[in-house]
Parts: sequence; C-alpha cells; structure tokens
Amino acid sequence: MHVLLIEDDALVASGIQAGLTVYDFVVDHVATLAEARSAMEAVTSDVVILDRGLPDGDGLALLEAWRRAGVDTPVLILTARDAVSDRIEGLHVGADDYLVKPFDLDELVARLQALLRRAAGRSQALIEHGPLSLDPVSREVSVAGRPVNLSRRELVLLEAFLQAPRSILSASQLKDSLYGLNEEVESNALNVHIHHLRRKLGSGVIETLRGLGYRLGPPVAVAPPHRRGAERP
Amino acid sequence: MSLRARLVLTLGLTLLLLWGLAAAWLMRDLHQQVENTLDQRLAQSARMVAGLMAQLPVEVWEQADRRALSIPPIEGLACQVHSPRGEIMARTHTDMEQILQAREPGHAYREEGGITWRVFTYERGGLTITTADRMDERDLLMRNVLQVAVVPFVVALSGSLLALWLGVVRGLRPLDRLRDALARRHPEALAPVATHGLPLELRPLVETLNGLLARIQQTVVREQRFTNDAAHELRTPLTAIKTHLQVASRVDGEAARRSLAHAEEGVARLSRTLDQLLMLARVEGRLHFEDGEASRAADVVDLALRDASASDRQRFSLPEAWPDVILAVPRELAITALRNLMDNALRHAPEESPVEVSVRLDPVGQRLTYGVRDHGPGVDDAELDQLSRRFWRASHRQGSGLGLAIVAAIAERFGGELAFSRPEGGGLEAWLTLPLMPSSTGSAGPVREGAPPGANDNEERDG
Repeated sequence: MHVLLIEDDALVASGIQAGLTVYDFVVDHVATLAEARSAMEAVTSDVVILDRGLPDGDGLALLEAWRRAGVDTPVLILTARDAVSDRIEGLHVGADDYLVKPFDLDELVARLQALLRRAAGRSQALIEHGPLSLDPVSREVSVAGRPVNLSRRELVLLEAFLQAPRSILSASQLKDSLYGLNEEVESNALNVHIHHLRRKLGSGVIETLRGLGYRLGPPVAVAPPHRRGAERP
Repeated sequence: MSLRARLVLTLGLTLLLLWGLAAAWLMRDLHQQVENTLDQRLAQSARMVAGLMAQLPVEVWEQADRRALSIPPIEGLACQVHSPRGEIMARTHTDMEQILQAREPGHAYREEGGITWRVFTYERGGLTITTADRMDERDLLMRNVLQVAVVPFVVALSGSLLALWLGVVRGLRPLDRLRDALARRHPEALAPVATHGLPLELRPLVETLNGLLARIQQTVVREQRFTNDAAHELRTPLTAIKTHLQVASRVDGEAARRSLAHAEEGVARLSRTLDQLLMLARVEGRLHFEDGEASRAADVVDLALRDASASDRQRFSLPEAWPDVILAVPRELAITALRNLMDNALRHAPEESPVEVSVRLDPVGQRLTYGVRDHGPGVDDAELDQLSRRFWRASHRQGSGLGLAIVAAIAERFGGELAFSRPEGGGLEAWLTLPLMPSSTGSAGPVREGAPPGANDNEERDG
C-alpha cells in the first residue's frame, strides 16, 4: 500500500520510511506543505501520515483544505504535541487517527492497517475473498487454508486489489501502490506481476478491462494453488 | 483584626470619648449654672424680705424683740430676720437657730443634723436677713434637670453607634463581594476581575491586581509555550532514535547498520539539545560560573574561536587591536555567548564568505560591544525580533533554536544587551554589549592557554 509521509525532520522520516518498508508499505516522503500538495496530485496514496509543525505551515491547514476538496484518503497525524486539545482539534479537522511521538513502530503499522481496513469497509483484520485470504499483518496468503508463496511485490499488488474489491484500478494507481515516486519502474513490470498472480491464484483472479485498468475477479474465479504455485517465483 | 472590627472600634471609641467629654462638660456647666441661679434666687428672697421689713413701722421691730415674728414655714426654704442688736425679729423655722445665725454676709454652706443648707446672709439698714436652701432639695432638682438632659443624650449616642455600625458594614460590603468573587475563582483562573460597580477607592486596587494577573498570564503562556517547544524538540530526536532502533531489530545487514547509524545521529542531536537546554537553565538560574579567570575582551574571542575548524577560522576577520579591558561576565559564559554568535554567523552565510568581528568600547568605558557580521541572506524585519526567541529557527532543519536565546539570556543576566541589525550590503549583524569590570584597564596579560570551553553549544545554530 502506498503511504505519503509528510514529515519535516529528515531523521524521523528516514526511520519511518525504513520501518514501513519492512512491512511492505511503499513510502513517499515529503518535507513541506508545498511538496505534499504536488505529491498528492502525482500519486494515489492509500494513507497519509501528516506531521503538524512543518516549515511552511501547520499540517492541519493542508488537511482541512484536502477535506474541503473532497479528498477522503485516511490521514494519520503524527506529532510531538500531545495536549488533548491538539488531538481533538486534529480529529475535528478531519484526521482519522492521531499518534504522538515517540511512537512504537508496531503501533504505527497497526494503526495504518486499521485505517486501510476501515477505508475498505471491513471490520476484520483478515482480508477474505472466496477461498482466498490475506493477513495484512503476518503477510501470509492462503487459498482454502493452504498457504501460497508470493513475492513481496505480488503480495502488495494483491493487497491493493483486495482492499478495493469492487473498484477498477488503473495501471498508474497500481504502480503507485507498488513503487515510490523515486523508484525506476520498468514499463512491463506491472504486467509481469499480474501475470504471476494469475498463474499462482487462477487466471480469473484479476480481470483486465481494456482501456480502464484492472479489477479483482469474482470469488469463484480463485483457483486452488497447484503444485507450481507453491514454488518461489 | 478585620478592617470592619477596626473601623467600628476606632470610630465607636472616638464617638464615645467625644460624646462623653461633651457630656461631662455640659454636666459641669449645668451644675454650675443651676447652683448660681438658685444662689441668686436665695439672695433675691433675702433682699425681698429686707425690702418688706424696711416698710414695716419701727414699732413692729420693737415688738419683735419679744415675740419673734413667725412666718409659716415653706418646705426646704428658711428665712430669719435679725435686729441690729442681734435679736431674732422674725423666722420661718424655730428649730434652725444655728443654721440661720447671722454671720458674715454672702453665701455659705452650713450643716446641722446631717442636713446641709445653702445660706445667704444679707445686711440692710441694720437688719440682718439670712435665707437658707436645703441642699438635698437642690440635689433633687439637679437630678431631675440631669435626667431630662441625659436621656436624649444617651438615645442620640446609641443611635450614632448603631448608624456607625450599619454604615461600616454596608460601606465595606463591596470589599466582601470582592473577597467572595476572588475566593470563588478557580485557582488557575487568571481572567481579570470585573471592575464594574466597584467603589472609586477599590478600583485602583483591582486594576493593580488585574495588571498582576495579566503579567502572570503572560508568564504562564510563555512558560507553557517553552515547555511545549522543549517537549517537541526532545521528542523529535527521540522518535528518530526509537524508530531507527526498531527498524534495526527488524532488518539485517547493511540496512540494520544504516538504521543504527541514524539512531546514533539522533542521540547526538538529542544530547546537543539537552546541553543547550541545560545551559539555558543554568544561565537563567542563579548558578555561579566564576572560575577565577579574568575574562579579557581579547581572550574571550580567541577562546571562542578555538573550537572552530581551521577552515572556519579562516573566515573570520578580527580587529587589529583589542581594548585591554576585563568583562564583568564569567569567562565561560562570555566565551559561550561569543561562540554562539560566531557559529550562527558561519551557519547562515555561504561557505567561504567572511565573518567580521568588531569591537567597540563605549565612551565612558563601562561597556564593550562585540559586533559579529555575516554575509548571508539575513532575515526580514519581522524575523529580526524573533531571532533570540527560544526554539525559533530561520530555517527548519538546523540546530536547536537555542543558541541566540542563550546569548540573550547571558546578556540579560549580566546587564548586557543583544541586538541585531541589517547592515548595508546584506547579511546580519549581531551586537553583544557586555558590562566591564570597574577599573578594568589592567595590564595586558598573555592569552591564557587551555581555557575550559563553555557548554557544547557551539555546534548549534540558533534562532
């Protein structure tokens, strides 16, 4: 999943970036409100981590503007201000969660997962689709109870589809989920990963809608893994 | 003692004393007056009797020799007429020969049988007339007069005391209301007390109180902001450390090493910020910094420069001659202040650009001003005032934002001054004025070696 990290302290940002990468998040980091605005236009983020005291203003102002403009991406505010009034203010403006520095990396990940889950309209941590299930925390995928080995990118891609089961996802949206803004992406990389997913989980698991993008196939299209699916890609 | 009790007591006692004195005075005069009046009446009755006797034919006088004319007695008043030979010619009481004896003329007191009489003796045409008044009759009259006078007096006095009590209680009611209003306040409420409806005398008091409350409020807000800022400044590197350590425990190899290096960077930053905060606390507290070393104007700059890297040192241009004076500031702090200023100049100017240090002695020789000028982008007018604010930074990514705040605190503690100006040609010039030791134009000593550096704040840039 793609995370937009808006944090002015380079050291903190690099820590969060490294930490979230461990949990398969794709993180883009910006340090100012201006950069955040252009990043928000350039990529589709699944969740935003927002620091409040930024060099060119308060992060809350940006959040307020986004919410007014109808941007409903989940936003987690991360700040060193811990006064209750600050938290309330943040939540009132439209933040979905609030975490005070210094925080625990696991807690940050858990809260991000919870935000993604709620945004997808689920209440359970485990994402299920017919016989297919994905555990966002343990990063395990299984079909009918039998584990399936997926590469990190494949797993991230599958997660993006499962988080938005009825939506058509464009190629660029899917690339945002897979890669940061600064990563070099080969032109057919997305096709390769989708091909692998189909091979491992059944050809109908992802539908191609020509000219529009891709969509998660119906639950019945998920095929139990045959022996080749258990191999490492 | 409460104000009310004191007022009531003072006014009440004064009232009682004055009324009492007035009453005593009145009584005395009244007594005297009644006495005189009655004496006059006594004398007049004697004269009246003498007048009557004079109209009687002499034969009557002759007769009287034997029979002693008797007049029916009047209670409490007696009269007796004596002939020139001393015989009693006429009398009202037969049993009062002693009292009514003719003696020297005028008023006198005489006593007989436990009863005192006021006696008047009058001589006319050979006759001697004595008249007498019973004193207890007179006293009775006196008492009656006094009673008539005293009752309204007492009533008036009690009324005054009651009015006084009521007046004091009512008059002090605004004070009670004020006290209640203050007592009812939340202990942390610092809003001004309403002056509406307060008497003129209380208004200045409440206004002073409101001024004090406003100042306390400002201090509280400032302290709160400092605490919040300090928490922010400490939490940020702590967050970096914690996050990087957690990452390091979850990855291997190069990535783990990189995270650990980042964590160490965070520790270094945290410790710098802590050093700065401690320095600020020490300067603002009342700790002693004296190390017994004289802080000569030139040595201080020299020692402050010692911690700069060789390449940075090249950038400074120093005055050719230094006034040989001693600053009235402990050397450690003078060095710290200078170093923070120099460091700030280095940090905010392009590499290789010069930093000019100047020195100026005021005409009276009581203060010395160091100037440190850089050729950086400078700040705008609004920012000029912010420079020495704690945790304020011109740009977000450098330093603790405490360096110039420490310089300002040092200047303030020792009666100096820190000012900034924007010199012609751009950049920023900081002016640090420090007081000098009295008669500090001592002999020029060599620059001392191995001077202890101040706090480690030289790496910090400031805001």
